[in-house]
Amino acid sequence: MKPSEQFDIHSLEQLFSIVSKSNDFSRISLEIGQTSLTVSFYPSMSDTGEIHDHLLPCLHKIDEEIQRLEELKKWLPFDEITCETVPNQIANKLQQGYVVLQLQEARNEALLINISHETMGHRTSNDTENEFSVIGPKTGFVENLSINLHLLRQQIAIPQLIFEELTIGSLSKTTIVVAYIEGLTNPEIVQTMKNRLKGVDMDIVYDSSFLEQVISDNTNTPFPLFLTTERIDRIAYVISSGQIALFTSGSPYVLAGPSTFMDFFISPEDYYLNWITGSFFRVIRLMSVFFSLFASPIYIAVLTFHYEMIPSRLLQPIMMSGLHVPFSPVIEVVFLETTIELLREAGARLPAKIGQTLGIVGGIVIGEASVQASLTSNILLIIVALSALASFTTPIFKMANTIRVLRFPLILFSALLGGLGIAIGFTLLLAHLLRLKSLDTPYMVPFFPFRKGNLSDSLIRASYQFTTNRILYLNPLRTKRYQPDTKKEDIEHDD
Amino acid sequence: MIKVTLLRLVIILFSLLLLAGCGNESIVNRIRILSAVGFDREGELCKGTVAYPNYIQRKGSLAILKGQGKEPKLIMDQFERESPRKVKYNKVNSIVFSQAIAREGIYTAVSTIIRDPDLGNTLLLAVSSCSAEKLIESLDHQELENLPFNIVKQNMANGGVPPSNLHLFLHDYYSEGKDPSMPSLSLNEQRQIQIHGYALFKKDRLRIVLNTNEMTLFGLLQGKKVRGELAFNYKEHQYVLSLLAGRSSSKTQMRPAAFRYDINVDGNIRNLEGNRMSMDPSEAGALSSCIEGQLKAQLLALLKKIQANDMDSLGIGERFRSEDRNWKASVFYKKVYPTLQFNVNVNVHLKNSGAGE
Repeated sequence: MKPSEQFDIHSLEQLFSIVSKSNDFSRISLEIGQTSLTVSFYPSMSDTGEIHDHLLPCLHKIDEEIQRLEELKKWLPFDEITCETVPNQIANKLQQGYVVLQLQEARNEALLINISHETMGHRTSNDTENEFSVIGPKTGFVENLSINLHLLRQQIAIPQLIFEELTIGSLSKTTIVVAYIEGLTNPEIVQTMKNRLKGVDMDIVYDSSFLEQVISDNTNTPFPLFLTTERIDRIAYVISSGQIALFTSGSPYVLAGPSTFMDFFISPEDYYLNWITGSFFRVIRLMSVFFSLFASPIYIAVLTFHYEMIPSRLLQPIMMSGLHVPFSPVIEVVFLETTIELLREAGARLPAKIGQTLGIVGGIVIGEASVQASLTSNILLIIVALSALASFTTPIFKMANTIRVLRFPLILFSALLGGLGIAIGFTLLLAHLLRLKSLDTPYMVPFFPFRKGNLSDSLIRASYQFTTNRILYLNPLRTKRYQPDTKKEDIEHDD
Repeated sequence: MIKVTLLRLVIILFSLLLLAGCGNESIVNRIRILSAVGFDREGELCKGTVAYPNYIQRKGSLAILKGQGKEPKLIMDQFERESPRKVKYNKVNSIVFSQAIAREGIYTAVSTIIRDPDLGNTLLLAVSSCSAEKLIESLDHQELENLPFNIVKQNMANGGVPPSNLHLFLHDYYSEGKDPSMPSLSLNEQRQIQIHGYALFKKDRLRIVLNTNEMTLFGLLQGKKVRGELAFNYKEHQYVLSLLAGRSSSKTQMRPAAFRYDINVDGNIRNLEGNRMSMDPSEAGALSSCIEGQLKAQLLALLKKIQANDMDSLGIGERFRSEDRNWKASVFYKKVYPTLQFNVNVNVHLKNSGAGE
């Protein structure tokens, strides 16, 4: 396959003739002794205060003859100064906000000074907005890569934490960072990830989720194959378990892989609460997945095909609430489910303040009115609202979306064949899930293939004395997180 | 290429299914759900009366349909023809036979029921002392709750009615050493359905109907946990023993053939002068031995009554069969059973007798 066309720069003359067309480019010529010096930079990318307060005064202070650019280095109070001759490299650095210094005598050489204004235009607050937790740290990743790396290194403070950089995007030149722990993470996984990333060719990497779809093992699946999170504690946990994280410059969301189905239903809060409450909430979350998927299909199946299942005492309320509804249960359900999806979608697109109002309008007015107008039955309204609520308990937004989408085919199956349809739908779903892989590791471990090493932290979150293993099926180089049996007396104290 | 055509095929098939609405659907609020059925005989014809909850005009209270035909299926067909909604009998939970049908044998009716997978095996079979038509008609305008099924179910759980349903009936019917039985219903003066006794069958034919007191004793003999009230006399006073728990065990004896029941009864007496025991605890022994004596006499009379009618409703034959390799039903019921010796041991344990004065 042919790679997409690169925008190559062949010489510095060409570079400057191109960039000077742009109005946000500026070029200053200075006379230093006999020679003249040109300073080129993008005011929009560089820290102009820095240039005017430090760079230019320093250049003016030079009182000896400058023959070579190297000699300038000692006059300048900046830590990142390099000499570069490759036009493409110079162009890249210029785009990142470096200042380019050139001597009249040596036109093909340039001195690059890092005065880029990295945080310009970035938000200052880094609260976790979409993955909120009551207990635990509330800071999350931001759009700035170096801040993100800083945040992670604060959590994992060993030199073995490796950040490997790659650049993707023929237009955006986005920096991608693969983070892992040397001597812990299985090198095969790191290699697979790097190979996949090397094969990627796109023009602009807008967000990490963009990348996720390109490098995923199977693109024809509604399930997310990589964990996407903005929580620092989550990424620290993931890396310490033997998975790898993928930072994308300009994206507050960090990818982690290889992920399994269960990873998406784990909330950091499970670990901050004690194991009893933590496990309880995890079980609730898993049950809500099933409820969310199957509540409305079962309603359809039972009311359309298997009315014998309804206990006589329940028959009365079901009959009375659906007495004047002219539609069949399928149409009722599809109507209500679509309404809920509409509300959710509209709520997500609207500004936060209007969104709240919409929730009330949608929830109360539309729901109540459609019952009054005999379009739906009360019981169905409760079921649909509950199953929508249940789908929001999934901590990872992408998985929550998947679950909401999958409800519709199941509704269709149950409308066609009743309980048999649900069984068929569920079987197909399960077969699909069992075939999925994330970075070449099965998606449904530890259940299939069955691995008992990590069962203590899957359906429930067992006490910390049992969850000592890292993710064993990833074959990490160090398998134990800690030794729970170590006695206090055995630990050396620094008195 | 193959993949694409397969996908197309699936899509076409799927949309065909969707368009044709394939599937035997019966949407719950577009059908008439029959709940209780009564069968009578009128000459050659079978007369069916059914009760169904009417949700449209009556907000779920029961309404009545009547039909005649040679077969239950034909009666259903008749109902179908007079109803704007599909008539479904899958949720029928009570089937009542008139005594006339029961005496002639209910096997023809039951065999129709058991061949139909639409009917559950926990449904109630019952005999009506009046005509089944009258019995079902009394449900008109009543709530779904008042169905015979619920009345019997409540009494099986908390009263003295022995467990009985279609499944147990069939089990007893097809056993070599046991005869089936079912509750017997009647209407009281307020036209309210009540359990008035327990009908014992010889194969599929009704022989005798036990009264309510005998029904409780019958349950006690079955060995199941039975609750209920038993009346007895002590020193010219009438007392009622409320059974808290009755446990019985039984034992066979081969030569000479005999059958022994050991019955343990826990109960309390809380009616008039029931506090006799608390006034004078030494009288408790006398009181319970008096109860034991009366209970034993009643139980023996019941066993004799069943034996005299040539029935084996308690499954004594089954007990013998389980212990005798050469057991033959014909031999047992011809030679052994009519002269079988019954021994009954009753042990009454009075728990309390109300507050003293």
